[in-house]
Parts: sequence; C-alpha cells; structure tokens
Amino acid sequence: MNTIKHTLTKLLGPGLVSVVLLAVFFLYLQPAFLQVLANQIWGCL
Amino acid sequence: MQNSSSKTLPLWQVLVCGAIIVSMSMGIRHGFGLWMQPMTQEMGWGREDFATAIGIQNISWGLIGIFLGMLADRFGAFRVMVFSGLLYALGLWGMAQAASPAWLALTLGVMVGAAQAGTTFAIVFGIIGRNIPAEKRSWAMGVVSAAGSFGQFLLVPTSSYMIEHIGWHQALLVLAAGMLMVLPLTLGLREPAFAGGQAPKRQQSILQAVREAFGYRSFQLLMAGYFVCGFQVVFIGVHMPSYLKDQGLDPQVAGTALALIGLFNILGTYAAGVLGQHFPKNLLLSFNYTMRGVFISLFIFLPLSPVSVYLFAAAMGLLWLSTVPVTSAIVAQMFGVAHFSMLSGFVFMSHQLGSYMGVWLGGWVFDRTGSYDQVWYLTIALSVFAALINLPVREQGIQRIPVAA
Repeated sequence: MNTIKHTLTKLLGPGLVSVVLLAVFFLYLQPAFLQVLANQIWGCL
Repeated sequence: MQNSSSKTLPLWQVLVCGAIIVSMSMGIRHGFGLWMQPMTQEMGWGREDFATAIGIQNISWGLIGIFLGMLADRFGAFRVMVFSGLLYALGLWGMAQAASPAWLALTLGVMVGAAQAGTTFAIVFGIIGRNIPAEKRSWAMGVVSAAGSFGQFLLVPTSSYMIEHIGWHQALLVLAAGMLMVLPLTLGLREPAFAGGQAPKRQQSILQAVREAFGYRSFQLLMAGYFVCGFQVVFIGVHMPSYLKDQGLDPQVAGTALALIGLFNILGTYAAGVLGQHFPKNLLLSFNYTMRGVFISLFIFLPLSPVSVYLFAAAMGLLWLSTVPVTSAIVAQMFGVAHFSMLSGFVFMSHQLGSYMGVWLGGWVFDRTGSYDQVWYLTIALSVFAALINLPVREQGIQRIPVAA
C-alpha cells in the first residue's frame, strides 16, 4: 500500500506538468488558432 | 530543501520566484510578432518599422544586459529586477500609446529590451549561482530555463486570444499589469549577502574580471559557440515558416511546427540542466551542436512532408534552448559567481549577435538567390564548427595566481 502511495506521489508532479503541457499544446492545434497564427505572424494567408 | 548557509536563499524560493518572473518575461517577449499585423495596419506603419523595433530590442537586451549584469553583481539582483520589471510594464504601456515608429522603437525596442535583460537568464542565474551549491546549479538553471520556455509556449496562444477578443491596445495593458503582478516575487530574491546595500567582497575589479575572461581561451570558444546557437535558432524560427510555404506546404504546418518546438523545448532545457549535473558540459554542448547538424541535414536533404517537418520541429525543440543552462553553468564554474551576471551578459551578447546575423543573412541571401539553401548549408557548417570548438572548453575553475600583499 505504501509503495503504491509513494509511486503515485512521485508520479503526481510529472503527471500534472504533462497535463498542463498537453492542454497548451492542444490550444495550438485548434485549426482556428493555427490560422490566426499563420496570419498574424507570417501574413501567410 | 535549504542551503546550509544562512546567508543564502532557500532553493525552492529561488526556483519558484525566479521561474515565474523569467517565464512571464520570456513569454511576453515571444509573442510580440502577434502585434505586427494589427498594430501596423491600424497605425499605417510598414512592417519594417515594427521589425526595426524588434531588432533594436534584441541589441538593447544584449548590450544593456552587460551593464545590468554589472549592477546585479555589485548591488544584488533584487534592485535590478524591480527596476527592470517596472521598465517592462512602462515599455508595454508606452507601446500601447505609441503614435510613431520612433516611439515604438523607444518603447518596444530600447525599454522592453533593457527590461528583458534585467528579468531573464543572466540576472536570475546570478542569484542561482550565489545561492545554490555548485552540484545543483546546472539542474536549477535547467528548471528556470524550462520555465522560460514554458512561458514562451503558453503566452503565444494567450496573447493571440487577447488580441482577438480585447484588441491589441488592451492586450498590451493586460500584459503590463501581468508584469506588475509578478513583480512582488522579486522580494523572494532579495539576497541577504547584499542587505543594506552592502556588496560582498570581491577579489577582482570589473576590469580585471573582463580581462581575465576575454583572455581565457575556453571563454572565447564558449562565446563563439553561443553565437552559433543564436544564429541557428533565430534563422530557423524566423525563416522556416517562409521556407515551408515556398516548398508548397500548408501555412498551418508551420504553426504546428512552432507548437512542437515550444513543447519539446521545455523538455530539452530541463533535461540539459539535469544532464549538466552528471556529464561534462562541454561534451553536452558539442553533442547538442552535432545533433543540430544531423537534424538540419536530414531535414533539408530528405523529401519534405508535414511528418518530416514535425519530426524536425520536435528534434530541434529538444535542442533549442538547451544550450542556455549548460553554457551558464560553465561560466559560473570557470570564473565563480562574483562577476557572473556580467560575464553571462557578454556571452549572451554573442548569442544576440548570432541571432541578428541569422535573421538578417537569411533575408539577404533569399533576396539575392530566391532560396534559403546556402543559409541551410551554412547552419550545418556552423554546427560542425560549434561542435568542434566546444570540445577543448575546460569547465574547471580558472587557476588564479595569488597577488602578493
């Protein structure tokens, strides 16, 4: 039981960081945002 | 976790306060390109006006960073960071009010550039150097660098969202307010060693430290390597989207590539800091530049597709700012921390010169040849050059001859 608790505690930090990073990454992948980026930064569209 | 000496700040305090300030400062800076279209369109300026201000910002960061580093080494980073944070907010507010390109150059260029110098790596790494033992320094610098990378990754979509929904003026004011809101965190970076305006005793004057560093071969090589880092990162960051468009890829591929670079950059900078604790740092830098050369070669010589672009972006993201914690940790190891922020400022100036050359040469060559090929070949050659010159870098502390009394 203690081992499981210890492992879960150790995984909590990296797990939270991964969730936050993936959440931001999916923000980027929204087609509307990609279009805005392409237009705002490079005037590509 | 706390340092043994009562004259130093707790590790967690340095990391939390330093990381948040650096991520805010780096994040705001990374999104400035988003203001180009709305601002130049509304004000009736050319893109070159905006680009000139950004160019001035980079030079201001590099040049003024050296002097802010001197002040931070002498009077403590706290005062420099408070001044720079206020200047950052004032610069953003001034940018929102800018009525002419000259005003934009002063606010977005000179003021924000100087403010970035005082709120980012060289100054915060100085605090890390003075307060965190050498065996944890590279890791701690990796944590703060990764936070800076995260700020860049997060604030691009945030800034874009704000510009879309509240307009570019208001978005700048929100960012200025955001900078002011993180400013109280500098209180957590007040170093006891500088309490009451007292500076710790130093063995060398500024001039002696500069002479020693510039006369030391390993420092020269490190600066040359950092020039290459700046050249490659900015050339790829600025010109790759146009290159992809020229090669017939959808502009959205470039946006996804930017996201992948941002994501993997966070992992890469943190990993570099951790690896710096366990492996010779000069070899890590040499490996970094070697891999850049390999990935760039594969990217330009193999058939181009969205998948190859994404793989290249992820691979380059891992190497993107991972030179930062390693290079800074070497400088601290070589010369100690008494003049660290100033010496880091010099090394960073070399990076900025490389950045300037990368963006300028990319445009210059393209305008003359209609292709980026020659610059891509140059980035590969520079990778080989940087990989080789980092091999003889000695990261051990410099041996000083004691001066007779």
